[in-house]
Amino acid sequence: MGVLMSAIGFGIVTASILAVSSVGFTLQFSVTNVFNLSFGSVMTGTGFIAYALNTSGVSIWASMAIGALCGGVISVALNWLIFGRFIRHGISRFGMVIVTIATGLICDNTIQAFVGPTFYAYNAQPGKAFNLAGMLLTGQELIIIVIAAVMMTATHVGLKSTRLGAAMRGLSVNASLARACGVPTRRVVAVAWFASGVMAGIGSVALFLDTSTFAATTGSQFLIMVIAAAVLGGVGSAEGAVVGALVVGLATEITAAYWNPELKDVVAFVVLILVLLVRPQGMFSQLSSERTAVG
Amino acid sequence: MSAATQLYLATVSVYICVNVIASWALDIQFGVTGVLNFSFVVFQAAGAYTAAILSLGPSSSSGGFQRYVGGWRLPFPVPIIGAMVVGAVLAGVVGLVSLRRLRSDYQAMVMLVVSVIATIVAESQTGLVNGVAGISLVANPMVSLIHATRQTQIWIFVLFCVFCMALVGVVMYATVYSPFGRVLRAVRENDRAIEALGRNANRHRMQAFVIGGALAGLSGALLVEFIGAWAPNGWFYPETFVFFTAVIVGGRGSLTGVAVGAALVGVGVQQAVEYLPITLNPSVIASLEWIITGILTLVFLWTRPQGLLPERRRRFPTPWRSDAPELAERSAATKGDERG
Amino acid sequence: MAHSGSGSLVVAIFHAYSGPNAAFGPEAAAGCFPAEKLINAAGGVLGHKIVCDPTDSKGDPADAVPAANRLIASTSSLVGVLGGGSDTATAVVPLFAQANIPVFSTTGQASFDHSTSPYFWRILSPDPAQGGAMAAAAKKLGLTRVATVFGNDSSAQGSAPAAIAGVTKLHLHLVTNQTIAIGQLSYRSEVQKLASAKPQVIISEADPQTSATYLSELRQLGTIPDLITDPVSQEPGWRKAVIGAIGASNLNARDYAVVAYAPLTTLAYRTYTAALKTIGKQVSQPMQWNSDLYSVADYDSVVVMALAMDMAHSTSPKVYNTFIPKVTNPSAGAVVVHTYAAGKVALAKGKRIQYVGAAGAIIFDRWHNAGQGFAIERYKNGNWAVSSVLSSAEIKAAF
Repeated sequence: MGVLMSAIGFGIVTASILAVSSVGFTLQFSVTNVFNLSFGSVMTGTGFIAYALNTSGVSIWASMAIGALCGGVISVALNWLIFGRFIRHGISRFGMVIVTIATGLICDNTIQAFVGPTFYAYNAQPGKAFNLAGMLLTGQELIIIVIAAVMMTATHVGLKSTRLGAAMRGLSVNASLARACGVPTRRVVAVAWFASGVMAGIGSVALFLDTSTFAATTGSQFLIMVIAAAVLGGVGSAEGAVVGALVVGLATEITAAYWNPELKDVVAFVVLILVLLVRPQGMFSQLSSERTAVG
Repeated sequence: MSAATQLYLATVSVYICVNVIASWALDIQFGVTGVLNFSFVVFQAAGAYTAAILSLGPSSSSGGFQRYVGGWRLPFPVPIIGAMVVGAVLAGVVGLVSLRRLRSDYQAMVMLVVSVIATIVAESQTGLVNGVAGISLVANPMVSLIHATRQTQIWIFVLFCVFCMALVGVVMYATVYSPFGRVLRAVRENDRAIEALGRNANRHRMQAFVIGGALAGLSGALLVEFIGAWAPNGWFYPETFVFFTAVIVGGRGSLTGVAVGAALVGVGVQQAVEYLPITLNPSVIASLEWIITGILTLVFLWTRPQGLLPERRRRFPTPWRSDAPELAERSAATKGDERG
Repeated sequence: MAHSGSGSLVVAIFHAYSGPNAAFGPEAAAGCFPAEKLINAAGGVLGHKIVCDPTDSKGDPADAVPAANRLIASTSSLVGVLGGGSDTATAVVPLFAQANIPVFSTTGQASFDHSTSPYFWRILSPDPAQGGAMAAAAKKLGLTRVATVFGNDSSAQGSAPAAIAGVTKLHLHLVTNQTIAIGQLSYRSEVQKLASAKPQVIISEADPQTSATYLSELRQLGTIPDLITDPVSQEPGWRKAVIGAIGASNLNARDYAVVAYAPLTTLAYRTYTAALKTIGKQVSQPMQWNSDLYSVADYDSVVVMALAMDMAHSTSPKVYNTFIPKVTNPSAGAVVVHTYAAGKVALAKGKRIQYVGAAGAIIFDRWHNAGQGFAIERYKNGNWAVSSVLSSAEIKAAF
């Protein structure tokens, strides 16, 4: 029981970090239909911006907030500089996957050229460990869980009950109809990229706090997990991404506790593949067909 | 020419052959048939490991410092054929899982995940292919086959690689420009039309996938027999992207184009960058290689999506553009219909 | 390859500068450049200057082989190589040996224990010896409940079996034995298992990121037991990462590094660190490497190459290679020297010499391995200091 409860506790921490990132990934995808494989680079970039702030004396949570805003700007800039242009240039979605992966490689290696192939760590204390029903969690981890919960609620409320949220949902269901109804496409798309960058930033600082060290490739390494959670839930569905994050987080930690810790990621990925075999569109998504990208 | 220069030239020649074979293998999957195989490098790795464990003696014979399955000391060319078989079988298994009615980006994702799973398994199951350290001490087959100086043996191995490349080229030519090849291209351009004609698009994708898997296995086998060692660091999932860039730069679906792309991107860029006068921090060189590869991809997709030497028969619109131009235009402001 | 005239002689630093083992390159550079500086300040070797030339092996054989062949082909004045770490040694050492270039490797792989290659040289002890010494250290420190935690990388897996076997041989209680996948984003479940086994000491080797994540998560569960580590824990990158995770006071209070016995107070060592201080241009923050045993061994390697050339009166690698043990191994009437300059002077007077370097005495066996004794070192007042020396009987008992 003790082992199970602590594994669940660890799983919830992993799931919180994953959920923020996966919702960011999936929200942008649902609006723009760009499968953004450079999302991990945005995470790494903001992680390093937060590091620069943190080492110059700013507290880690303030660094996270400022870093997240910068992440939003970086994300919008990437769309403005590269992705949007390629979409308007008429590239297929097929080609777009390659464009984002190339962009990710360029960004990661540019960061690496500057920071070098070494490891960095934030200046932050994990705080005392609390025992909650057998789950051992540090103050830092509790704050991360709370931030994730707040972000998820805000996203849900924002999508369901604001004009902007309605516009986003409209775009993701039927773009031409949304446009005909007077939705300002370009602006909504920019907001989606910004929100995705902000969530990448929060996710990355939480992740880098959790792993305690990070390097120029940590974000992209984590990206596979983020996409797995998003695809598991059904890309485009924010609720799905949260459930996907919980499944991935719990599956990895329970595997590590009861079976072989070296294979915990493998188990998460095998779950993903099995789900796709049964439900090719993911658990929650209605978007199973091919759509065109929006820039 | 000094012995050292000869060895360097031989190395570059072998790497060009290996890269050309591998890029053709990816081209039949991605260029001709349109499958985004982001786990491609896994099939090359599988071939390399297979050739290694088939040609090495039992793992106890090397002092027990490396552990692996197999170790049957099979004679040349059995390990190479075995590598092709394993590459093909593995492609069949991966294909069964991923080549279903998945959205193309989900498919890419599944492939990526397969690549990561393969790396984790190879690294953590140390008894399989010796974990992170990888397998070493694989002998060049020409050493036991031909009694000559080391230098002559190496050049004979280079000739063997060139021969393999030529053979693969002939087979590829016969395949890609045959009626079968036309069906594959039709799958790439419009799989629904193919199915309306009563053909099973997924079966054709699977055929291309398995052929590509076998050729990838061959490329890995040649590489490991030349360098003698193979480890997970050499086939981490981004390595697949180098082959994609080679195909895109050369010209998707064009055999000569892809060969040129493979030589330029897979070998040329790397060798050229290493000659840059950066002596103090060589890690920048490694980053630079990836940056150049990424930029080459973007530049070609933007300015010359058909590649340096485009595919010959172009009765379809450029694969990089959306199927219907008016749809693409519309997407600038809005987006396509949900049903596509 | 005849070397005449006054062109410079190239010693290649052939290590990973990128990828997971990217610390290997700068680490070796921190040994090579001080040697280059001191040798050239003493007038060079037979009128030639020594030049250190870094090449990135990228840490995997498929990239290292063409890089090595290119290095050999494009550098006619190549006289020696520092390199082939445990990630690439089996693939590249034969290439350098074929070109008759001496290779001083820092690999710990057991496959080189009985290497018959005439051009292969190894100053540091192989991994299994290291593993056994770590078990012996637990015994000596009186810590009986032992856990072993080793990364699944090649370097750690070289020492792990001998460490585990040693714990059993010495009748210590092995409470848990973990092999952890390196570079994971968390090890919470492994850490939970370890904590519930309640070890007094963890014998461990893993890369910086893995160790930092593991130890930081272990600290969340309570206190960290004592740690027995190897020279990896003296690498600045490792210390930086782990201090970031658990704090310097925690680490210094717990860490016992078991390393080759080299009292870091000798004249040779002081000469090395004095030169290291001044090479900020070639190596960033050079003093971070000042007690890194691999850097120290690489420094000694270059000095040994230079002295062997002097003794052979030749800079031809093929010729001077056979003189390498003649300047390191003890012999009747040999003058013990601790610096290149002193060795050069003694050789010029026609004397036999024994170079005792910054890493201690170097005595090559017939397989060109020079294993040393081991000591337990602790980090105090900003420096590593020997806290006790493991006797050869104590180490033998672990095998």
